[in-house]
Amino acid sequence: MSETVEKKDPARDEWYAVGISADLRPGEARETILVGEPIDIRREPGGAVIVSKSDGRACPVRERYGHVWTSIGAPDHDLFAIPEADQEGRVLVDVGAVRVRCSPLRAVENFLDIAHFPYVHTDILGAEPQTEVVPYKVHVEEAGDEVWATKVKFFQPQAAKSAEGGIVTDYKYRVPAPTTAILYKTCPPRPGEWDVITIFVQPIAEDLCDVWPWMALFDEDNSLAELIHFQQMIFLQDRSILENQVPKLLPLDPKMEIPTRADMTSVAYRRWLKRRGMTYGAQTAAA
Amino acid sequence: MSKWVPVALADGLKPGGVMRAVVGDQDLVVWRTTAGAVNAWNNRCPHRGMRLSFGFVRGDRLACLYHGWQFGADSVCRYIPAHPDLEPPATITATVYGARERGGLIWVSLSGEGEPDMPDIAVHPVRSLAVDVAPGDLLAALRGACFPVSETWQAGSGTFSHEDLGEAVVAIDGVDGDARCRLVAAVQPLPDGRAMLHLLVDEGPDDGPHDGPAAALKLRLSDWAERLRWFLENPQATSASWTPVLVEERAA
Amino acid sequence: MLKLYDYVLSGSAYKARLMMAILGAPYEAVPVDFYPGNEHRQPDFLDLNPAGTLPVLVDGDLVLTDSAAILTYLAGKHDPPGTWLPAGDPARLAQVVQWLAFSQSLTATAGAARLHDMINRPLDVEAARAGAHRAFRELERHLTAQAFDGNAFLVADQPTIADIACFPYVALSPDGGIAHDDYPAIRGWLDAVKRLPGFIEMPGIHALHEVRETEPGVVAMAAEAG
Repeated sequence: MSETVEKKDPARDEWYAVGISADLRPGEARETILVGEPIDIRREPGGAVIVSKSDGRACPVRERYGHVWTSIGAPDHDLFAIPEADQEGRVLVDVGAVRVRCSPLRAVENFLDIAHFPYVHTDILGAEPQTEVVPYKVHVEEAGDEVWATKVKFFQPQAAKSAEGGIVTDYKYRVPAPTTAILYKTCPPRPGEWDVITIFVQPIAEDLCDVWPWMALFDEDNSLAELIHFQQMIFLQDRSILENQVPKLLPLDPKMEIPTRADMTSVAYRRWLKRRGMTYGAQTAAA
Repeated sequence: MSKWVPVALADGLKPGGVMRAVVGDQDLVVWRTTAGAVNAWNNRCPHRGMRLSFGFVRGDRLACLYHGWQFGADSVCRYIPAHPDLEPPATITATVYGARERGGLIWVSLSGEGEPDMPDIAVHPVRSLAVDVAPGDLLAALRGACFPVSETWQAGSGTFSHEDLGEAVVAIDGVDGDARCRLVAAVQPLPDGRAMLHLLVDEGPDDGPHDGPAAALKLRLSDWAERLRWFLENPQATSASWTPVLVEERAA
Repeated sequence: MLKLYDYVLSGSAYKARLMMAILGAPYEAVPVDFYPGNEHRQPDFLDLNPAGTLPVLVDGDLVLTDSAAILTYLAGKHDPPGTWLPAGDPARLAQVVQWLAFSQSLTATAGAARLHDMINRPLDVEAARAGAHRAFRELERHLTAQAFDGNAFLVADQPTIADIACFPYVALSPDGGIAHDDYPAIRGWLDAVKRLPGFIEMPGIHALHEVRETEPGVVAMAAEAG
């Protein structure tokens, strides 16, 4: 491990989910790798979670949104807020990590994409011939320096576990941190509210990550297992796409991959990463 | 790299079929239109980098699995499903490489220059199989191979001979039962230092009109290739170079 | 009504789903939180299946916990012509049973490599991948011989439960870092299975995306929803 702790590094100085809180019982420990560095996560008998590097140095810890969060650097900001997590009546769903041989940034970008629904999530999130992506809005919210996409609409044959039949679903997307994406979507049983579906991506290496999906839903009809299955099904459909994108790293040079109007979120995300200097998992020059 | 490389039996890529091939460092998608034309492109959609070998064929277009972008046989993007009314700019293309059908094989070339190094003879497909040895070793073995491994093949001198049909193609003439038989073997280098053997057969010009070799003959040739692979991959199991006698002994 | 204790990412559970879809057998799915919840190792589930494995098929008092047994039962009961389980032809039946046994080596190699790569299950993954390639070579050789006789499936000239048993972990093997590039006959067979009437996918197995004949119906559904 190189000693670059003092230098500002957007990849190191960021919060990442590294485990499910409920799976780490008092006295239990697990090892993992974060941004190339081995870390040890354990819960003290008293309940506190300690994350340490191989040299014994302690890392900052938060427990939020069902997961243990940490950083191998020194974040100058606290973990982002997801206000819906505290809203009464939501089912909070830990979906579990899925390992993917891809850039953590490609995993986030795919999550922000709707145009692939008819082809990758066929008959669930999309179906031919309803493939059109109508114009939507994208902006960078200055307050939190977050990428937002709003007024996104797409026809979905089975938008959620609680959806019967096809509906036009409204979406909002939010990128509060480089490897976290939050999706707000129409909540069939509760009009006016938004279901919250996130992916927390733990970068292991520039081309390898553990993806921790997590959800905060209004759903009284489905069992936890059903909700987990639905989200795992969706994410595992994406996995073979993510493992077959070339190059593995996300190109930040706009000449490398051709976007269309449907990719406005992706374009904004790539620009935002570039501006923040978040190049871990990115390819900055054309190959 | 101007060389043409055999990547599949022509029969192995059906109309509407899509496959992946790696030539040198280059990852390729090889696909056939429903009308039968073969194309070889860079295995990468220009939109989001997805391997096009996961794609699907609709008529004379190849569609990317990720977002369904369709590319015509000229590699120009024709249709973007997210924008059904948009005529895609002609600048959106896949990178095209040379693709040919010759001698019952599909050949590709990164430069597209020249022609495959093989006469366009009429032969019948048998099978392709990957062998965990270097392409040169496989070629050398083929140049010394004969068919004594099945009782219907006549072993012994004078009943078989070899002819190089090209740099990577060897013909082995032998006898199957009472009939002359010409085996054609093409070698494709695989990216990890291994080789793919593409096997074809010509029953010979004297047989008169026929619909292709019998299944039994193909099976004998397939078994022969399995045995060849076994000996090449298990060199420690043979005391000297692979010889017909040795095969008989080990089979006993 | 048939009841299937199911896990959406399980290739073995998919065998049962696929068979029931092809045979048109209605069933009730009971999702089990295999991962991350480990529900299959909890007392409630162990009461049903002490082995703690998925899938489990329940039909009245009958509880089946092995995917080959489940396929045998489904085909025996829900395929009146008896082609999926050729019980009347000893030679064919024995070959089907042989491939059912072979399918276990696919689960132990390609299936295990997939769980390692996907949810980080501890494993000597290189050994598992090498074992998968050995099994794939055996399968490739057999399918090549079948193709010489004009047969697209594993046993004789019809699809059987043997194909359903072997299909998932072969089709899913790229999830575990095992490519199909070396195996043209296997690729042809995978496509043949995908073309079976009633075929359904699972995550990691992509549809052929052939042009749909039902597009007007989809439009009608959209109009209703709108």
